Amino acid sequence: MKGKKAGGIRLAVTGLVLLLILVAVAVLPRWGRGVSSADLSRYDYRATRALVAGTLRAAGAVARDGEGAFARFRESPDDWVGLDSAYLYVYDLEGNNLYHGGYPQFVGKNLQDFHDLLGKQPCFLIAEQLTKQAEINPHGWIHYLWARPGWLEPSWKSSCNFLVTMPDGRRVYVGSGIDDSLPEREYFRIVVDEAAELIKAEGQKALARLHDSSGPFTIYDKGIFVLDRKGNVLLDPGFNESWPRNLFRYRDLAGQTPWLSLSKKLDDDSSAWVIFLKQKGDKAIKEAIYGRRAVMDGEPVILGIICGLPEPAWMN
Amino acid sequence: MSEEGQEIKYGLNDVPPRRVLLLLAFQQMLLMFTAATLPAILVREIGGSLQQASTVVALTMIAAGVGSVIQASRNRWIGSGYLCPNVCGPSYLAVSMQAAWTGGLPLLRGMIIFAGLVEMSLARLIRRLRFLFPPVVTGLTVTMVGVSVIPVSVADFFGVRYSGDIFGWQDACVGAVALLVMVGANLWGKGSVKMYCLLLGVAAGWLVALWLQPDALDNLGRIAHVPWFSFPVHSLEDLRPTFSFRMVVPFLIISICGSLKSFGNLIAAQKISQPDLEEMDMEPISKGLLADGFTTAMAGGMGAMAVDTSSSNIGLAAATGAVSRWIAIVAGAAFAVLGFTPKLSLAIALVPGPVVGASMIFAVSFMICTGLREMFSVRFDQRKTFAVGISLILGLGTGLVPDVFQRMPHTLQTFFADPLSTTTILVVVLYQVFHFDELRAAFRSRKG
Repeated sequence: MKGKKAGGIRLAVTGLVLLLILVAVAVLPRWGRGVSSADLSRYDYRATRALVAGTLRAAGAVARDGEGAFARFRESPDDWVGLDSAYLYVYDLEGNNLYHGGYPQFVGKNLQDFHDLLGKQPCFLIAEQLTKQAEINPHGWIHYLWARPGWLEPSWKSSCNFLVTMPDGRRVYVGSGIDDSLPEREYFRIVVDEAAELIKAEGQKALARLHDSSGPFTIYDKGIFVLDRKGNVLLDPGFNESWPRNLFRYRDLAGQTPWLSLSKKLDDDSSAWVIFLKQKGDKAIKEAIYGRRAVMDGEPVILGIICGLPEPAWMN
Repeated sequence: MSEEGQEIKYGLNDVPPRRVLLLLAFQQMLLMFTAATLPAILVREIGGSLQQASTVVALTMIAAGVGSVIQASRNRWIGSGYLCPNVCGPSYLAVSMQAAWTGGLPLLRGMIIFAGLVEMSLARLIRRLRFLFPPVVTGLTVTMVGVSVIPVSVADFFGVRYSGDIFGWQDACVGAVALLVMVGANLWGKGSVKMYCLLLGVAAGWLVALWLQPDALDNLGRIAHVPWFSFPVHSLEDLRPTFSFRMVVPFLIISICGSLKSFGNLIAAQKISQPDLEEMDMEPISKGLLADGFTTAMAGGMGAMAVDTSSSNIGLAAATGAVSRWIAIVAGAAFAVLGFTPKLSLAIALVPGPVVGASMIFAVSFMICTGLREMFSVRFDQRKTFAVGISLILGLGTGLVPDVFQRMPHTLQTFFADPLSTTTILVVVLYQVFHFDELRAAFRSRKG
């Protein structure tokens, strides 16, 4: 009897393991291919993935139920984005607020002219991103300085936005953001890719717009560098006037030349990431440069932006 | 009995029945995978390509697998003959990154070969330095080996990959279910259930993850696009090593710390496998350290990341009472083969993070307690109290208040790099310093 029982357990364990492997290797991959949330893999942080997924769900509710969805947002705000500081908002493309989970007093007001400390106009920027840059920026990201409800000082906020048409035909955008957020590499990719398009379209005239901190090209206190193919700086985010310097000669803490490496990578690819080491206070920290090739008035140039990288939690 | 209340099911030289052997080896292999992502992290940190990352991961798996077989084998020259598998060494990550930053993967390879050669020379020396490792020192070293795994295991258990990111209740549920099943099966299960407790926990945690987390299901979808077989080395460039004198000091220190960690692991493996030994047997430990050094040098030569003995796997052996070295041989061989089969290795690597964290917490609990028991097996006087106390306080301090230690001069910083190496170095030194008068008296009386 005892032997029979032990044999049964052994068989059950073996069966369970084999079943799991079989399911993993053979069956589930076919289901996996069809899952639409795969594009969230571009984000490093779970908080960002939760924000995008929740906002997308809320946008679906507004597209389906129109203003009827707002009551559900009010009743159970945590059911949508589920992040501590995040709330939903809905605006039309002219900047009229229809719903605001963080500042209810905004409802019914036009915030198109509202601007932050740097002069960024969030409503204007969102509408521009959703209508003109949807291919490069499919989740409608914009970044601006904003005071979280109950906080004294503003901090960088990143918001994702989705354009929807309500049942009554009005086009609105549904968005939500993370206050004091963790900068994703994807944000910097978007900024540089958009800058490359602008340079291609407007040539040297675009440099002033790229340098304007009230525009979409300054995020998290970082701006865009433009270099010629010899490494000479044409646009320097740190200075109003470019002073002659060659970034190919820049050496990081480990003695590497990241801008030169970027240039070499861009010989083969249209865009590339390079990681480098820099001193910050007492610590050596790693940062990345995202760069891409562009053509400015017929001349090849390199665009790049510096961004921080996520630190594995256990490394602290 | 290997430990208090732990019965040995399969002893050191026992060969379990084939099916049991395969399942036990599979269980050990699952734990070996917990560190398999480290090479990918390293390559990603230095901006390497996806192909470079997968090459380094595969080569590290092959090196670790072959190393585990060598470690478990019994011959005149090399290998402890214990179940003490190799995994990618987390203690090497920081200096490896430093080398990779400075001179890319070729310099990393060269410096790992150097570290391996240092470990091999220490293996010969350690036999003569036995007086440096009384039970208090070895016990604390084994404990700290377990403690050093805490950051990775806790971060994985709660599914938090990056600092600053949010906590997810789904991850906590997955980790908790996996851990509860492992512990429950180990405490109240009998026979197969007890022996395969980790496997059962992994299966339960994975099923909960598939139910609660859409990501887990999506990730499995990636398996379909990965080939069954792939040779990891794509060009001879992948094997070219270089050397830098500037990196000698950090690699020298980390190889000494790596040797001390493996020393602790091998002591734990000996205690678990041969509980009746009254005194530490230095012969297999020295041969084990030689195997560890050889495997590290071999890993460097192959273009892999440095490997190290795994404390979690020894903990699992203690938990299940299956300490047969044949389990390590089969697990090691299978791990090496998986280095050539991306589809299967990806399938196993996709075990959800919280399940991996739960497995480590489960296994490392035994490691920490084995060390503590060893440490308190002798009478504690004030000399030992201060040697252990000061070492622990300053060692743990490197993890709790790292800013303080980062302000030290660079040369000192290398000795205060992390809790494991700091505690180990300090306890070895302080124990001798605080017993200096006793040692001198003993020396004089012998002379007289």
